[in-house]
Amino acid sequence: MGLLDYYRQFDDLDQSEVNRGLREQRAREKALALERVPVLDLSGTEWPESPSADVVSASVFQARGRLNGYPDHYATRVKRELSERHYIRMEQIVFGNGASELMKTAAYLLLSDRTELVTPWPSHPLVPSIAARAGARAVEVELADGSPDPAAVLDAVNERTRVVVICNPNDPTGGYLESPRIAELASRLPEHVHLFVDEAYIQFQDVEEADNCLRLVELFPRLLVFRTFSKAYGLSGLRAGYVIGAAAATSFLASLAPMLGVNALTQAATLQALRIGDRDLDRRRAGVIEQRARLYEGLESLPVEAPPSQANFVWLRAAGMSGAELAAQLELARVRVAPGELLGDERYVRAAIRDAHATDRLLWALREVLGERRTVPAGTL
Amino acid sequence: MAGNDPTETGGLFIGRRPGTAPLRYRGKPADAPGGRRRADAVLAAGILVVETLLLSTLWGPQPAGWLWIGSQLFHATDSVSFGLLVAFVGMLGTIFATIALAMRLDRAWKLVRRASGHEQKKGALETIFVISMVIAGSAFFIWFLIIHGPGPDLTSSQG
Repeated sequence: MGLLDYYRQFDDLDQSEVNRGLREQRAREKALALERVPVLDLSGTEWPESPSADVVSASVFQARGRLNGYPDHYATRVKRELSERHYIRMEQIVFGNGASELMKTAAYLLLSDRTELVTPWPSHPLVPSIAARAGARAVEVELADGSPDPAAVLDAVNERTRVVVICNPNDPTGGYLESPRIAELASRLPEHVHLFVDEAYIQFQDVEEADNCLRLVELFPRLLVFRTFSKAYGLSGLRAGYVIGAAAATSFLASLAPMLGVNALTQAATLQALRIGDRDLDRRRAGVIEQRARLYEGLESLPVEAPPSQANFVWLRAAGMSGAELAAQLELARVRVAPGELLGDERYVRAAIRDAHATDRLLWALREVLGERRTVPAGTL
Repeated sequence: MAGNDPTETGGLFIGRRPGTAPLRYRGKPADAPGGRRRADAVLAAGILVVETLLLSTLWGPQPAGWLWIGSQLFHATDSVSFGLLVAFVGMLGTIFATIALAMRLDRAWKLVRRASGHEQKKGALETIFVISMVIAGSAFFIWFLIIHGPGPDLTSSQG
């Protein structure tokens, strides 16, 4: 070592070199972590990211305030925000502890023994159970290529029918019924039947304006449209949703409201989400639409059948495999999906659509599973 | 300096206090015998003296030298503007050259100082610069106000 080289070895790294070294170290750690790939859980349909820090802060701020007092029973501020957003009068909006609770209350008020609730099937598993709890009978109507079929629904309606429930987009198939077809269905229903449209995933469809169906409530007084904060807003844990109905149905709507309102923490968070959440919502919507297109493009080359989806999930089946078998095989490839058995069709699985990485993982896992059968451990199915 | 000590931030840990990060070398420096370390300590002291002397020239010898050169050019060319221009440009040139040289010396001092066994994180340039400026400024004012005295010169032209 020369004299100058001897002293140069005491030269320290500048901050950019240190940072580069740290980044390289982090990349090596990440690569090592990826070798032990955790299971990618695509079985749920709620939004996977935590809500915005501002939304959480709004709730925490409320929690540190006057919790010993009752919340605003009428959720006035939330309803005003919703009213301005949807161009609907506040009296036509009921804010509640989740769309399912509101739907359950409405169904209880309309259903009784010897009455019927008609729903396309497979659909949200809660719908038949709501009917059963109200002592009514759930009549399940087949879908047409994964979408609710208005003609089949009308055929199933009779003098005992009190409620028709349409999930739009439909969970778990993702099929979508455009608002003119909803209007046609509503116009042809007899006067003793209410139409419930559950729009839990409406933000993810790209067929028409999200509020098109809301515009119909003035034309059809027995039409109720349910919305939730659990999916696109990512607030499942807060249990918040709302229902919108006609101005002529305000007395019925008022009877759906929770007795003492929705808790203050939920009101604060949803209000903040409505005020600042549009950018996140747009980003999520655009991401789902983009990944949905990518996923369907990737599925074209695979031996699977997947009806068109307008939601943040895809309903698919593989030739010659049951849903449970496909789900178990995918689990071995470190991707978890929901087997269709509990969702209405045991031949299918439901897989959520997330980011590009999740799409790649799902497609890779499907190729692995469908290209090369693996042995499923005994007891898995 | 922004407070980031847990005692100043209500117990929150924000990050390392600026300037307290350990030195990071590209590789582990070779071990040197004690004699070499002592020699490096002497060498580092020598470099520091040279650096100090070099920086001290900024506050007296260099400006005075360039003013002298400017005055000679004024006499030779009978152009006060030309004399002032050369003095000013020359002064700036040698100041920048001196600082560039001092920075190299300072880096060398830092390396030799580390080689002598000290964890020398920062150079001494800024410190020497400020101290030499204070000493030179004080010396000038002592000379100007006490030893030489401004009074007679200022009043002589009026007398």
